[in-house]
Amino acid sequence: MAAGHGNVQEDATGADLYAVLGLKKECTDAELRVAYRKLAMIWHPDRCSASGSSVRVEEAKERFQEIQGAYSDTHFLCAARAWSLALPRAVANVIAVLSDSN
Amino acid sequence: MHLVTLPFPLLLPPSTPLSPLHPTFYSREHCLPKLLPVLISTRKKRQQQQGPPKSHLLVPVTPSQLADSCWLSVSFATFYWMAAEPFYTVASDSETTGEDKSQPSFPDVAIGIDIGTSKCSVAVWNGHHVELLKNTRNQKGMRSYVMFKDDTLSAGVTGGAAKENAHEERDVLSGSAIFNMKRLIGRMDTDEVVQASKALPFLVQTLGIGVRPFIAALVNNMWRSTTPEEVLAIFLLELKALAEMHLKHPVRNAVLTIPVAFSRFQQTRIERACAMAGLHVLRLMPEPTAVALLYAQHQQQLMHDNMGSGIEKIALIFNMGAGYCDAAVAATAGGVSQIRALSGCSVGGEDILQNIMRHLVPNFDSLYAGQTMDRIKSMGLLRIATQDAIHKLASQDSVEINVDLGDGQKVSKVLDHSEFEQVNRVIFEKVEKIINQCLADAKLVPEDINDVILVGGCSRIPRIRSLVLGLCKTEVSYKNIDALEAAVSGAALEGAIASGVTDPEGSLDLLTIQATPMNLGIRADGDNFAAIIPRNTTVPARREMLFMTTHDNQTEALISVYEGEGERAEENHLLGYFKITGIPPAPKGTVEISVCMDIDASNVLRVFAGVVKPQGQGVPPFIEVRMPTLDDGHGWCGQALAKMYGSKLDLAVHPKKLQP
Repeated sequence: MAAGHGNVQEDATGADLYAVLGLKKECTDAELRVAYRKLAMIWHPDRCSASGSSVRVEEAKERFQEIQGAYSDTHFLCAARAWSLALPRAVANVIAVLSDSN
Repeated sequence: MHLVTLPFPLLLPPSTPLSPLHPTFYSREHCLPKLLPVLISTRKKRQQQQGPPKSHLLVPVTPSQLADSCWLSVSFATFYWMAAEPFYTVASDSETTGEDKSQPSFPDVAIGIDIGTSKCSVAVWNGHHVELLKNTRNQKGMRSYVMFKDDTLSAGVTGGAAKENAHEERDVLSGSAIFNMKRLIGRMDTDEVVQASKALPFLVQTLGIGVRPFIAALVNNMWRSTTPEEVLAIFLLELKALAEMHLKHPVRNAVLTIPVAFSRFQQTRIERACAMAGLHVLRLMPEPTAVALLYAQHQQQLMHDNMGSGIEKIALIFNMGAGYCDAAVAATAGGVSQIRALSGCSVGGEDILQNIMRHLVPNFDSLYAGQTMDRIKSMGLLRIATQDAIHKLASQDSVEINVDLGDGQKVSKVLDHSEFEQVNRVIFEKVEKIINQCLADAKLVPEDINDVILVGGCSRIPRIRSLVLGLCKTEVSYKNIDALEAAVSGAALEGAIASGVTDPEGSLDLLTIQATPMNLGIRADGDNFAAIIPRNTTVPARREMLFMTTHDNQTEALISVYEGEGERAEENHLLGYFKITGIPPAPKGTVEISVCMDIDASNVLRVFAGVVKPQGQGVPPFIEVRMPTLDDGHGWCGQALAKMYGSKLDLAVHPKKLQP
């Protein structure tokens, strides 16, 4: 989790990260989770091991790690975005409550 | 040659003396003459028929020879080599191996095995659902022990097989049986769990210098030495025979459940025991993650459209058996179970039992110091009475204990819940710590938990139930899971999935995304521990970290790989070490060394290390090392290295962050 967040500074938009999951930047948290699970079902080495070829397992491993990295980073971005939206509203609410009580 | 191949049906009914389930199978003087004619006759037959050979089953010569230390010293190397091989090949009949593979004589579905400290079970995917296998006594949970008697060995799988020589609990406690293998395996004699095991009826001798403890069983009034790996191998061999008898085909692959607290070194010991029993380990699954997989299957069957809705269910799984206690937080949706956090420690029912025994007999340690026949017998009686009382306390308010320990010693006491809880306070505190750590690591609060799943024998203890449920702020636990069968069922599911079995109804469209239970890193900045792969990182994982030299013109650097939670290197488990040599001479801090750790889907750890700055022709190639590299006696390696080299070969963490 921790190391993955390094990406956030370099790629402020995170568009590439969303592309890894086949999503647009505006997606919801739920869409993110669904996409991650679907891709994990396809690319996790455990699901690929049936084919038996080691080349494919190696490829699957890299793909899965890319997906995992993108998921933890976008998940973080999503949470941050939800915060940035929620925060002004919360402040406004507090101000409203305070002004009401006056 | 230490291995013989037996033609596939070895699996004769238990009544025939050639069956591995027959009590005389393991007797040393009988077995070889019995097996040899079979081998010779089948070879002759094959030569006559010239047809394609039957599938082969690989069997170490016999368990009684397994226990023969002289044979072991030679053949350990063979087995170790085998453990590294992905699949077993037939050792002596090389002419048949090629044809064997092309012949789809049986579906090679891995079986699931749960080797518990006290009980053990085996399950398999039968094409429709998971089926737990029963032994000849109709038990699904079989007592984990191996009985050493004269020249015969028998494990708890059959429990002495025939009725007339059936083992009773007091036989298991007579000193002739070795049990609690899971607590002893891969531990050093300085370990507190090994120290606590000295209160067991068989011999556990320690020297306190960081080597393997000496264990022995009482045979004809003599202590006969063995090792936890050997005992486990004998047990697994019987278990394998049981599975083969049910499935009517040879079993090669297995998924085993292990405690979260198991170090990678302990994992290699389990793999070695499996190799000795002719089993290839496909996966070692932390117990609560096996339960998580079963839960994922339940949830998938409950709501088919889970994947589409994106609704996640968060489950906290708590597992406490006789030897270990683990917790996991899993996020489940659409058959995918993602392990968010894992935590565990080596605390279990055995500790509760010993606490109560010491409470009932305050002079326990002086009374039972030195194992004479009388004392072993007396301690056995106390153990049975205490165990019985603890079981009764699960459903009663208080229990009366009356036991005559012989030699004028009598215990007569009424034990109630508050006293029971007071005596075991430290254990409950540890359980609380495990749960809280697991929730904190998963970055969740109790309100986020949808289901609390309690499994393992100790989950029956009322105080444990109320404690875990209380910490998760819920009233009831998840109901649709059997506390004693969940882990083995999950292992069997994983076995089917990992063997590539698919189910047309989609009940095997499952996936567990595992996480690392412990930090993995190296010693750096003096005696500190630099974690390269932090705990609860999703597996497969690959992480890299930069280090720099600490002395001017330092040409060599020591990479000591550790696993654990301690901030100082020595508080953790040492997994192995190697040197980077030929570093170009330069002022301290200017040479950059990269250490990369890689865990693949099969949970194999590899460490890559080398110089990344300066670059050029004068720089030595990178080194790749598969961990752990240590063998027994690793307790003193860290100290020996410190004594030999001091800080001469040290590295420091480089302040520059690596690009991910």
